[in-house]
Amino acid sequence: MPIESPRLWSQRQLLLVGGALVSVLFVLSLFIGQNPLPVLLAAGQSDADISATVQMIFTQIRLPRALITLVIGASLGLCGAAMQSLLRNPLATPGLVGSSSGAALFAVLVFYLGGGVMSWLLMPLAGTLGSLLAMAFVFALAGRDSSIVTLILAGVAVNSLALSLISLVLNLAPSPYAVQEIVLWTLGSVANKSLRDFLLLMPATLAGWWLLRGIGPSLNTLTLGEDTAATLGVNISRLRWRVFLAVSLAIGAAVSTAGSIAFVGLVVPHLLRPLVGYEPGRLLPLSAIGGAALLLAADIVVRLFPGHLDIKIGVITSMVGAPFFLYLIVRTRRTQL
Amino acid sequence: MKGLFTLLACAFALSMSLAHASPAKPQRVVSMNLCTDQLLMLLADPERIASVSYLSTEPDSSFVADKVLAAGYPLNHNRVEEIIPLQPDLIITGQYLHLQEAQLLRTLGFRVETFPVFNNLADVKANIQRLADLLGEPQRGKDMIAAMDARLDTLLQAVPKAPRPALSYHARGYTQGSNTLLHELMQLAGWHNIAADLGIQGYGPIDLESLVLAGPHALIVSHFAPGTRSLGQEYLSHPVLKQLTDGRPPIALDARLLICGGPMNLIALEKLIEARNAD
Repeated sequence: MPIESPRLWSQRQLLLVGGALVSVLFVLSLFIGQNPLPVLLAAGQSDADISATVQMIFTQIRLPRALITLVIGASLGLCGAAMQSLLRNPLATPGLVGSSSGAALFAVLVFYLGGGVMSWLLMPLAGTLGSLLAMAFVFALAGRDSSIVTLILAGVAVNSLALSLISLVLNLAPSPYAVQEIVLWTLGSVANKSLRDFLLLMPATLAGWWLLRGIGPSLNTLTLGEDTAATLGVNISRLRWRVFLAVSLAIGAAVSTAGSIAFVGLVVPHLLRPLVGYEPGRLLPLSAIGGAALLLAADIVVRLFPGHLDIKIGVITSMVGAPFFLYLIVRTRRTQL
Repeated sequence: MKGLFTLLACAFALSMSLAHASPAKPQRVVSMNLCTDQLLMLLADPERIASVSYLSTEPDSSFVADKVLAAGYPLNHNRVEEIIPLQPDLIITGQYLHLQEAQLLRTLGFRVETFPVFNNLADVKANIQRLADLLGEPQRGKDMIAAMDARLDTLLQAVPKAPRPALSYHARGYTQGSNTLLHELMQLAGWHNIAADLGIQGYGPIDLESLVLAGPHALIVSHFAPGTRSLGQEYLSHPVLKQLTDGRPPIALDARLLICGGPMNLIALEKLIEARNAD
C-alpha cells in the first residue's frame, strides 16, 4: 500500500494553492521584462503611443513567452511524474532516459534540413517520434524492472548519441548560424517566441495531456509491483505504451518549441511526492502545476539579467536541478546499500 | 630587457618589409579574404590574379561572383598548402582573419599585406587606394574613388531633409550601432539610426522589447544567407516586427552590398535613399 503520511492538506487544497501560485507567477512574468513597466509607460509621447507600444510588448512578446513557459513547465512536471510512477524509478524522467534529446534530434533534423510551412507543422510530430524512439530504445536496452543504474546508463548512452547527431546535423545544415545554436537545443530557451509558436505547441501537448487523463488509479495499483498490478486487472503493457506515447507527444512538442529544458521533470515530482502521500494518481496533476510554477520562476530569474545577456532558461533549471540530482543519487545509494 | 627585445623585433620587421617591398608591380597576387578578393577583381589586371578565396564565388556574399566564375581563377580555402604552389609575389587578406596562416606564410618568406576593417566610407576608400598602391596602379585607385565621390554627390541630391528613425535588425537579434558603415549610409540616406541612440557601438545585440520600445519607423534587414533556416534567422519573422512598422515590409539590402567595402556600398546607399523617398 502507498505509505501513509500525515495529510496536512487535501488534494483540492493543494491544487488550489498551486494554481494560485502559478497565477501569481504568470502575472508577475508579464510585468517583468527587459524593460520595467515605468519605462514602458514613459515610452510614448502621447497616450495612443503608450498604449500601442505597451500593448505590442505585452501581447506579442511577454504573453506568448509566459504562456509557452507555463505549458512547457506543466508538461515537464507531468511527464516526469508519469515516468517515475510508471517505471517506479525515482530517476526516470524524460531528460534522463533520452526522450528529450531524441525529440531534439528529430526536431533539429526537420527544422534545419526541411523548409517551408510544412516543416513548422511537422516539428512537434517529429519531436514526438524522436522522443518515442529514444524511449523505446532505452527501455529495450535497460529492460523491464531494470535497476536505476542500468536505466540511467542506457539514458546516458542515448543522450550522448543524440547530442552528437544533433551537432552533426547542425554542422551540415545550410544556414551559417546553425552551428551556434546547439546551446538553444541542449539548454532550452523560451526567448523571442511568438503566439504562433504557442499555437504550434498546443495540439500535441494537449493530446499528450489527454492521454494521461484518468491514468491515476492504474499507476496507484502499479506501486504494488507489476505482477500484483497485473493480477488486479491492470494491463501493464498497454499502460506502458500509453504513458510512453503521452510523454512523447508532450515532450516532443515542448522540445521542438523551446529545446530540452533539464531537471524540471526530475525535481518537481520529488518535491511534491511527500505532500500527496506518495500516490501517483494525486501526484500527476500537482506535478503539472509545480512544473509550471518552477519554470515560470526560472524564466523570471532569467529576465532579471540585463537584456543583452540572454541567459538560457535551462541554465537556471540545471543550477537548481543538478545538485538535487546528485543528492538523489547519494540518497538512492544509501538506501540500496 | 623587454623593451630592447621589442625594439629589435621592430627593427627586424622593418628590414624584412623593406627587403620584401618589391618595387616592381606584383605579377602573381593571391587574395585570401572575400573583401580583398573583390577589391582585387575591381583593381587588378586579370592576368595578375593568381587566386581568390572560394567565398568570392558565392553570389549572396560576393559582388563579383559572376566575374570570378567567368574568369575561372583557382580558388583557395585560406590553406597555406594551397597557396605555396601558386608562388605568389603578393598575398592580401584581412587584418583579423587567418592570422596563423598569414604568419606562417610570412615566415616562409612570402609578402603578406593585411587590410584593416572598415567602419565608414573613408576607411573603404583608404583600403581601395592602399591596394591600388600595392598593385603599382595608384591611378586606378584614384579613379575609382573619384567615381565613387561623384556618384555619392549625385545620390545625395535626392535625400529628404528630415531624418526618420530606423534600425537595422539581423539574425540572432543583432543591430549596427554607431561606428559602422551601415550607420554612415543610413545617416547619408536620411535615416536616423536609433541603435546609436541606445548606445550600441559597432555590431551588437538588441533585445526585442527594447527594439519595440525604440519605435523605429523602418527596419533594415540584410539576409546573409537567404533561403536557409535557423533559429537565429527566425528572429526576423517575429510577428511584432510587422506590427511595429504598420505592416510595411522591411528595407532589404543584399548582404553582398554591405559585407565588404567598395563601390557596391553606394548601391546600398541608393536603395536606402529610394526607401526613404518612397516612405
